Amino acid sequence: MIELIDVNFYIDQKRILKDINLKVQKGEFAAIVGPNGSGKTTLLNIISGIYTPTSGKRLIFGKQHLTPQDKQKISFVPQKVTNFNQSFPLSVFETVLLGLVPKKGLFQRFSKQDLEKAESILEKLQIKQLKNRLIGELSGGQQQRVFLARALISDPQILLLDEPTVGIDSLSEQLLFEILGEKKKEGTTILMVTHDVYAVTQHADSIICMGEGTIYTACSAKDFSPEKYESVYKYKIKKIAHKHSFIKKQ
Amino acid sequence: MSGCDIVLQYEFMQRAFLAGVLVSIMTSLAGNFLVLKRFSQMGDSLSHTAIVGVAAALLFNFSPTIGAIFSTVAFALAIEYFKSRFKRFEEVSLALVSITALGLASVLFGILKSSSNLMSFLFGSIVTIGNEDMWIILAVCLVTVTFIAMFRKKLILATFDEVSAKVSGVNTKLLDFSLNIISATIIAVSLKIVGGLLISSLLVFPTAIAMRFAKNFKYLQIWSLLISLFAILAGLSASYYIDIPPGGATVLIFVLIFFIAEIINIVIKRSIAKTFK
Repeated sequence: MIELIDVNFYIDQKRILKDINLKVQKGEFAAIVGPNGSGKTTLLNIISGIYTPTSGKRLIFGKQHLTPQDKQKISFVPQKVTNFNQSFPLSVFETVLLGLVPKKGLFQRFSKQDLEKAESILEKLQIKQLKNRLIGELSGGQQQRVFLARALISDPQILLLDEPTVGIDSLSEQLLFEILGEKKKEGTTILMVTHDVYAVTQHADSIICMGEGTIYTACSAKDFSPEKYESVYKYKIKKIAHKHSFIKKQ
Repeated sequence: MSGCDIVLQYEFMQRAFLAGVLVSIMTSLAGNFLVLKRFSQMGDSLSHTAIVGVAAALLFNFSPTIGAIFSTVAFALAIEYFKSRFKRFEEVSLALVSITALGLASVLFGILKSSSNLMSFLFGSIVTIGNEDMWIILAVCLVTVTFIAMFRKKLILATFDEVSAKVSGVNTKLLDFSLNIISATIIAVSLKIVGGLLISSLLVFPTAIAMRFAKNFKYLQIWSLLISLFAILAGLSASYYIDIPPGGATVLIFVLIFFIAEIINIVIKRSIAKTFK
């Protein structure tokens, strides 16, 4: 489904990604973890097609060059703080429907089924009561749910998420992983960049651990241990009472 | 005879009002996306470039509207080129184009010597809109309305979240490019009615005011169109009755609406805060 072969990526002669080889199967939930500046988001941007590799091959659906129809099967949940204008006059309902826009033809209106689907996704994500509110008026966690709803409404075959758990409460996080679990069962391939190592060891199938622009280790979530993570972060970590965190020991 | 009948008994006023309605429609539609894309400054830069086309047209004796269309589109292409050269400093491209255009316009008007029409092109004039201008404005308005109707949803997505739009296969570069060229053409054809120095107010003010109230995108479009229509028609009437440039009158009406909207907004927020105290 997603394959990178010997991918290197440079920005202004600076090597950001080094010799990346990666394979994510259909229906797999893979998490990319690693310290800040390790190249996680750049890797996601290469996979999503925002960046083009300087060398190497990027194969999605087995193809190097995707048609607009192929791209319509991919949904992206961005890091909310960087990618959206908080004063944009868009209601929650309109925002969710935007997920269907790439598939719509010229002059084509939203059908009754589209509107019903948007309603049911909002209900599933427990934000139906917010449908007429402006997106910029919502809290960070609520906005994150709206962005997830927008990504899911098109029934994507590949779902890419860039740090979706940043700034959200544990209930929202639990709901996020429940929904991702359901989508995985339906055959959606999920790739998530995150710092929430504990949560992905519980929910993901595989963990790709990045550091200094390269993949240090990639293994199944079951085989992943804090020691592997420590080798990347270069400091000791331990799990503490709060179930969603690892903290620095020294 | 009512005031409206008196104004509309003159053919030049009928033309000015019709042109005003068409200009309101297209500037408010394009302005929604330019403002939300944070490209407001582009309207200002392109309006300066329109003056170059007018100067060239007066010098070589052809239609100033056609001259303005050619120069704004050419400079819009130059902005696109410079934007790709200064990726992290896109505003540099606007400054470069704006300064170049003003320099070129001042040289051309210097060669021209007589610049009796200059004031009407800088601040607008209701008597200079001819039949040829009317047809050009109508054609550009139809193109703008068709473009926005065809790509409305994709434009909203690309404006709201360009990255996600790109990932899901929307050609954001082509949409941006088309919107810029259409905006350049709108600026060129609206030049006579509001003037080159003030045309960007029509692109920016209606959306900036409507954003204070709109609860969704549809309302933003409706409100900005109504605000634009009111301001431009009131500006044209003021221009007729008190003999002032229509561009300046329209801008001052926009400023007045903006302040009234701000006051209403503050009052509403305070009353909501009191309710919850």
